Amino acid sequence: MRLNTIFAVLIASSLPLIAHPAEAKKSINVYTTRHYESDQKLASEFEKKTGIAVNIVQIKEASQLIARIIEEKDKSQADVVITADVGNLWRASEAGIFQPLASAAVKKSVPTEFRDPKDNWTGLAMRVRALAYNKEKIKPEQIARMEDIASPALKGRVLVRSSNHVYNQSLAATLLAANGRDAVVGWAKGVTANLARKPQGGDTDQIKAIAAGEGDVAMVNSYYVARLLDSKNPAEKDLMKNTAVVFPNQKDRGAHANISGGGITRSAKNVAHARQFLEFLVSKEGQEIFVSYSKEYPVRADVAIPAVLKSLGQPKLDLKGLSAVGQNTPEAIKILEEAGWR
Amino acid sequence: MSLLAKFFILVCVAVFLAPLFALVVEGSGAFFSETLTLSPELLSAYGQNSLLLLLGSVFGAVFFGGVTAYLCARFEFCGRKMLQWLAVLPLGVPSYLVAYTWVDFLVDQGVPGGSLRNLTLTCFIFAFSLSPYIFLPVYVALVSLSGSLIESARLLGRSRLAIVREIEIPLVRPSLFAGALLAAMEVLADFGTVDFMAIDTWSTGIYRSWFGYGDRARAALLALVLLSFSGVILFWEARLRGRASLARTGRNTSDLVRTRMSFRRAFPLILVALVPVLLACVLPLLILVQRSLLSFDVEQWIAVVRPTTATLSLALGSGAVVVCFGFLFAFVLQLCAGRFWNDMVRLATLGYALPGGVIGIGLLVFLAPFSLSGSLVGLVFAYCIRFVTLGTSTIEAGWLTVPRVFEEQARILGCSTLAVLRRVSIPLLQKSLACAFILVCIDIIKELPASMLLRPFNFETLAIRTYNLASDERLAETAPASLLMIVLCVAGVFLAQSLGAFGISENKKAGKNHEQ
Repeated sequence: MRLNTIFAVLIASSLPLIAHPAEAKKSINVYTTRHYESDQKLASEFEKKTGIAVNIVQIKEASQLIARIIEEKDKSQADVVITADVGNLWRASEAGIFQPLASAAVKKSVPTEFRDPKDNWTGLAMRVRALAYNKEKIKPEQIARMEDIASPALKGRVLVRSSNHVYNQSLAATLLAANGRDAVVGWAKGVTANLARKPQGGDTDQIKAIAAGEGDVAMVNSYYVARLLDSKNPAEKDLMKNTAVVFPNQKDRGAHANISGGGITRSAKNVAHARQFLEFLVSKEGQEIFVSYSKEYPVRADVAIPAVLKSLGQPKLDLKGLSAVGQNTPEAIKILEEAGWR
Repeated sequence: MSLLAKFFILVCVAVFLAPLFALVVEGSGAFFSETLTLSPELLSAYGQNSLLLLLGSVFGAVFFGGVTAYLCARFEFCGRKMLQWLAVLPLGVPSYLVAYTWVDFLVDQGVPGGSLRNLTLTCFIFAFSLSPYIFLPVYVALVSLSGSLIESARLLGRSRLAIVREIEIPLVRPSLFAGALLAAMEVLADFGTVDFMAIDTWSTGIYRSWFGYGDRARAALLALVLLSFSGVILFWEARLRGRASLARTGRNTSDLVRTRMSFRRAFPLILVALVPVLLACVLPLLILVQRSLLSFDVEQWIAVVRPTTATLSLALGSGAVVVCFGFLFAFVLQLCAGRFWNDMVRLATLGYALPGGVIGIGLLVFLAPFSLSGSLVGLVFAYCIRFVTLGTSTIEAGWLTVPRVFEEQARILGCSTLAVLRRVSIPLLQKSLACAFILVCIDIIKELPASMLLRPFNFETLAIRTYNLASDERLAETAPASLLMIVLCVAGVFLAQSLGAFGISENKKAGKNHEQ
């Protein structure tokens, strides 16, 4: 009967799960694709200030998160949905899961270009797509525009991640809006021909590849660069020794930004609290948490960016292209795919 | 069987099949959708990659697992028992973690990352991590082969190699195939490893259709194709097993004496046998320990306390439920005569062939209307569908080693079916039940996609935490979570082994079979 005892103990130890701590009286439920410290900090600060607890479900893939809300229909427990990248926000908006924000505070704090024209969502924070390059082998003028990395001069020197990733999909979608289909087809073919290795890894992997001499130019996101520059690990800091970063298209439309945004769901049961939460996220205090904890750019002009981001320079952003990202994404993926960009 | 019991079993089967139906309904929408989608050429390339990966990985696993099994079953040398224990350990390390740690480590050593992410290396990763799937059934089959067959062959002057070729391989083939097909399904269903290794497979095609093109219907359709493929494999395997049962002698252990071999002579083979455990368990562990020491941060360890208790409770709680259903199905297979009931149960356990992320779509469609998505009940249900096969097959294999006479005699003495179960079968099956429980728990601990998609508020498992940090390119910070995950799984493997779970411990009653 010794085994029975073991079983009993094992199963009893699963009791804490069933006896989940009772939920606080005032609370909101957030579905998010983000899993950063900044977001946890924001939730706990909000609770401290208002007494409203923030319950979080995080699902990495926006499509899965949207699918869950769609299937849950009116029974969905979600009050707020937060996801990274405009394309995903557009998709969520198209799926009809949002209700208008209707918040004067949000309208006042966040410039129009960072908000949904239909008022379904507001931008919360941004990352900027930049080009990292080997200082000894590339002059920044050579890669002043995103279009330049398709130039034959860079044959065998360009590093990118897979077109499975939303960063590349959205970027190609904005190029589609700016330059038209034929130009993007040519660009995608040019980049593919220039690849130093098959598209792989994450953004940090591209920077590592520059440091290792596998290639000379890489598409990277400001967030990862800032993190490496700020790293306490000397080996990580060393990765940026010979590498510099330039924001492309500064003399024309501006650099591509990945905006994280959030909105209130149609099924929300705590609309007022949900609105209050989003207002907190775009308040000066909330924005400062985004900026300092996850090294992102604020959507408010009156919030200072941290020194490490400042050292990269204040980029001019391509905000016009963003509105078309959602619609253009499937075609953009198709173009990348046909060019052989895996 | 009473009418009530029949009705109950039918309901269970129907519930287990519901997400599959949801998937079919979802997939049928793809015939009418006109959205942009993966080109046929690309899809066929993805399919080709999947097949190559499958063949390479399975052959590799068969080689390493087979050599180890033969070595341990036929030879006696210093350290044999130890080797048997070690050979199972790769079960405790998810293959995506093997990939993360290898690549991270080698890139840090100055190996260009571009040369690492390729099909060959990916095949090796799978071959090593999946080798226990081959080792376990083949070892058990070899040990329980009738010694007289081999003795006779020897007396007739056949060489060892000829005996392997002409007797042992044909006779253990069903077990070998069962293990190989289980490994094959793991490879087909995998997303995390191939995505990280930059290999485009059918699974990544499914995900691209859904996450990239936002086309759920097409993703479901592609998933159904994968499922049918796995279904065909399963059916084929079941037929092989059907025939194999004729070859069973009914004995658990062979009377064949192992040939003594000096450690020095055995050394090259031992080395081959040690490769999987060294590379797919010890090396990742060492790398993770080194990473966690390098950037040691108490807060990171505090942060994994809650995920650890959540993972443990979830695994133990759902493991118990899964084993109950596994027992029910094994009971139907063992004690209920009739092909109909057999087929019903096989159908209900098809879930093992579904990739975890894909099963999510079906589960969502099925669970959401009952407000069960985002509840623990929903999660437990997901694990039941995914892992009940593992429970059923483990318990069933145990049942096969229990002589039926015991139950028949109890019947003759006037016990009801329930009384036979309670007083005879369950006490005799204690070890298989415990073993099924542990194996299922290990798989639940490692499970990622369904847990992520269906989890409740403020709930994080070790696997989710590891994945999130790794996908944010913070490999060093994954160390606490992934280390704990491995430790839990490896501890489970040890516990299972010490219970004689895999039929490889030395006590005379052992001989359970972990196939299928």
